Amino acid sequence: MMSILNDISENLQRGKAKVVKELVQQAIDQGISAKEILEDGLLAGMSVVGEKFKNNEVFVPEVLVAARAMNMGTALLKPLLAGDGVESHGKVVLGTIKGDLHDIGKNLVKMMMEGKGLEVIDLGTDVAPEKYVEVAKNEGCQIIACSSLLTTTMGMMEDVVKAAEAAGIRDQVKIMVGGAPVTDEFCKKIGADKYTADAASAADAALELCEAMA
Amino acid sequence: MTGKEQLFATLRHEVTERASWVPFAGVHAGALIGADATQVLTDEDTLFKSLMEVNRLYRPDGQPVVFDLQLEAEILGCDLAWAKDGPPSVASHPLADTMTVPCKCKLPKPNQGRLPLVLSVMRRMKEAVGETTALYGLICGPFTLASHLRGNDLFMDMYDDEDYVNDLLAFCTECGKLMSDYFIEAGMDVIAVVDPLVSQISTSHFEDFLSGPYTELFDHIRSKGVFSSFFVCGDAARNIEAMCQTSPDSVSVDENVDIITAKAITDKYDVVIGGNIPLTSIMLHGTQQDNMKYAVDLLAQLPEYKNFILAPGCDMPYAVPVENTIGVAQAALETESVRKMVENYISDTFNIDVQLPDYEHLERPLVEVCTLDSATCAACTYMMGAAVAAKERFGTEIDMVEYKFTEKENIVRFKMMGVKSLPSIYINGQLKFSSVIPSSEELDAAIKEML
Amino acid sequence: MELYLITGFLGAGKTTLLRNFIRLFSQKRVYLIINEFGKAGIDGTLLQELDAAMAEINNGSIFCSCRLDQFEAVLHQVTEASPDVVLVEASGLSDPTNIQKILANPDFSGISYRGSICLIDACRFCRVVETARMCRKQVAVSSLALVNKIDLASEEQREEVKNLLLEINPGITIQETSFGNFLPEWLELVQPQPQPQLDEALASQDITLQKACVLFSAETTLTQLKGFLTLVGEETYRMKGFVQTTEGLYLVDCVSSAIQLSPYEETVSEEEVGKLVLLAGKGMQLRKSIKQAKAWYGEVIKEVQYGS
Repeated sequence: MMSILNDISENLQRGKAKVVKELVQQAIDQGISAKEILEDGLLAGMSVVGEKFKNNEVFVPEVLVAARAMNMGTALLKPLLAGDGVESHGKVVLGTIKGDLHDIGKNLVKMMMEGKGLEVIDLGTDVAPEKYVEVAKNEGCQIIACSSLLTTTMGMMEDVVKAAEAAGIRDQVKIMVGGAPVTDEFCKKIGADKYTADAASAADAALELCEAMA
Repeated sequence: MTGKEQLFATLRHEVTERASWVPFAGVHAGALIGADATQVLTDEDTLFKSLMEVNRLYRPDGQPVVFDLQLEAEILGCDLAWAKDGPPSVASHPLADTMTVPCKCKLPKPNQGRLPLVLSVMRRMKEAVGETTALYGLICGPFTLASHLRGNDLFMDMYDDEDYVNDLLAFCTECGKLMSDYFIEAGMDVIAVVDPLVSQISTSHFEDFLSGPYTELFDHIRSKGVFSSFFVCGDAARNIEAMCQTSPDSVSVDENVDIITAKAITDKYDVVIGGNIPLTSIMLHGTQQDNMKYAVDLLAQLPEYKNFILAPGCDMPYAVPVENTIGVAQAALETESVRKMVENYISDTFNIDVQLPDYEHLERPLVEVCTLDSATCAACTYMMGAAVAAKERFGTEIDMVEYKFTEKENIVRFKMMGVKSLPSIYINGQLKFSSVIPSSEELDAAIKEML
Repeated sequence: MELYLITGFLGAGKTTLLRNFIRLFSQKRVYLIINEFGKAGIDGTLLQELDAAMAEINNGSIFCSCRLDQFEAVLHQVTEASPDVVLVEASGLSDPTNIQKILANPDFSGISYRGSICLIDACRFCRVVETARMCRKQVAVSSLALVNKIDLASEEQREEVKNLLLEINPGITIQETSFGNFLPEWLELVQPQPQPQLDEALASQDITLQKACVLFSAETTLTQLKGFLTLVGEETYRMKGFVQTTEGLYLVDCVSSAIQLSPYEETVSEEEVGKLVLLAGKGMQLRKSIKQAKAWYGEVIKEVQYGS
């Protein structure tokens, strides 16, 4: 049983989506629980990819194909997971800030967070500050995560913090910020909660924050 | 030796007396004349005027004529989202849901998109400053152009359909060659291939997909008798060696790369390296002191001025304070004197008694011109020139004095006065003009207020 | 010398229209310039039955302005023969404004441009106009829009097509027909139009057009060929060519997923046999579907070339 989960993880790391899909089906047929396949197979593999990405051992293309393989696997598991008592570890609303159309980094964050078992609502790019807050409020997200790649748009992140205050949910959500020009200092200055330098660290931090809030 | 000769010597790998200096003032050029980024990139006269101001104030050895990686993409059908304080972004990728390689007949022609504007400004710049300043023509690198056309799926294609990626990159390489030809024909001395996305892939992917196209591109540029440069952004450290193997004359990196470590690699291939003053932390948010210090510290790490160009990490942010770039320019052009200024500023242990004038009880208006050194710093020369002209107009009605930062005494003085940026003009102890040179009307009006 | 232009998107039925249209000039010396896609050159072969001189532009300006030189060369050749009427069938995806540009050349001052007919597929027009920018240009330069295949279209579709045509070109005259029939009185509706002022969307490049050429071996069975066409058809505008199957030579002539295969009796030049040309546009997964089809029928597919 362990070996097939290992195979899933290995193949996911190499982005072999078809093989991953076949192996997940085999594992299901062998009677392994969806929860185990998810956590010890798919998520374990994605976590290795995240670690390697953080250490500059793999790069954007490798992460994208690994994430695609993970999605192929989770698609098979979804109908089974509901019955298996697997709960989401937390809920995140994510997007690139208004005025900014960069999405590679934001997409990586999404994949890494999903790889940690978090539920992610992706608002895409060019997202107005109020929009994050509205979705967070309506969907009960614990985390708002904003990305900015431009020095000219990063200032807009402060408006997200203000919008959360205005909506009266500032104490119910943690606000995370990231992107090339963003720094920890900037995060503190605008009153956000957490800055991380890369996608994998963002996912780790988000999970930690969710667990702390649970 | 003109700036152009200086830069050419560097690009020929010769040892020079100082480091070459190339400010990447793209949309920032507009800030010098009060034009926004969109105006700079869409209006011919605005662009020309901005670039002339860059040339005047920053005294570059080389300067880019336009810094916009979306020029080709726009012609090929990408929608652009324009901004007032930055270059446009690509808002749609025509090949996002359509895996095809365009016919070569779709390659940009000189009458399409903004090319007529760009080519015309190149010719005007060549005419105006081409004798003394080397001009850079910037083209979008094949990988970034392919991603503009195809979107993020390009990364996935690298696994799913290598042939397609190779074919699309071949198209984008043809585009690069053609753009180089247009730019060279319009008088550009250096063709810089700008490919920020190169930092996002592994070395083996670079070698599989990009070594061929880049070698071809640089061979082409070389065959046309001009210099080439390979610009990347982001942490491209691991790919520097593979980049050198494609034989550009120079590479340019940003602050994510340790340039001294990278230079050990580029030196091995006798390739020039340029960079890497941090765009945000230093140029945009730092003080003039920070900028001068950063530049002289960086230059101090070089055993000799060979195979090195001092430059911002990439396209400068629109709102970089003018005095910061002036500071870096001065550090490049007058490295030794700036090094001393910085040392003196930091040590501050000398005990000089400076008496500031009694600004409240002056007999007549006092115009104080604070400069790095009006003899060597272009912007300071112009600022001083403006003040001298005013003094001639007003005669004995006013007093006028220059304080140079090169003198220890003035370091103390500037600290006491709270001077943050140079050059600047104070009238009766109040800051009136900073970095941007006032017109004679503006300066006269400010003086008359005090009469 | 009069020149008429017949435009219309791929599969609208231009070849059939041309056959009917040419009869209006039975007393005159007519020269056809067929400008249809690919080396298959089928339309040329089919039109030989009509008693008219014909020049063919092969592998020519399908999508692009890149082979306009070919059109120009052919036009020179045609003017030397000085016919009374020249009919140009513009390829289904080509840019008709280019042709007018060429006619402006003083070399062709002996040609009187009589205007352009735009043939419209009543069932597909509203869909293709969304993805293929060239459609709009073809409508914009024409004085007469002939809405074909109304026997297959619903009342709503016909209404929708008319509204859309008028939106693109408010001055256009619309006539409806089936089977490419052309009534003699419509000829006077064909008039030269001033060059339309094209808005920005029309002026910028369309790089989404796709072309593939698939080479089949003579070992292909009819079932395999049908299977291939079924798998791939959905992702194309048009598939055309001659394929030698184990059951004889077949003409493939499909519009999207509507598969049309017929045994072909006449002779076809050797180099055309086995070549199937596929044309597709924005959003169509041509490469992927061919790749998939190759997995199934790889043994009879000798080669696939992509180009545009």
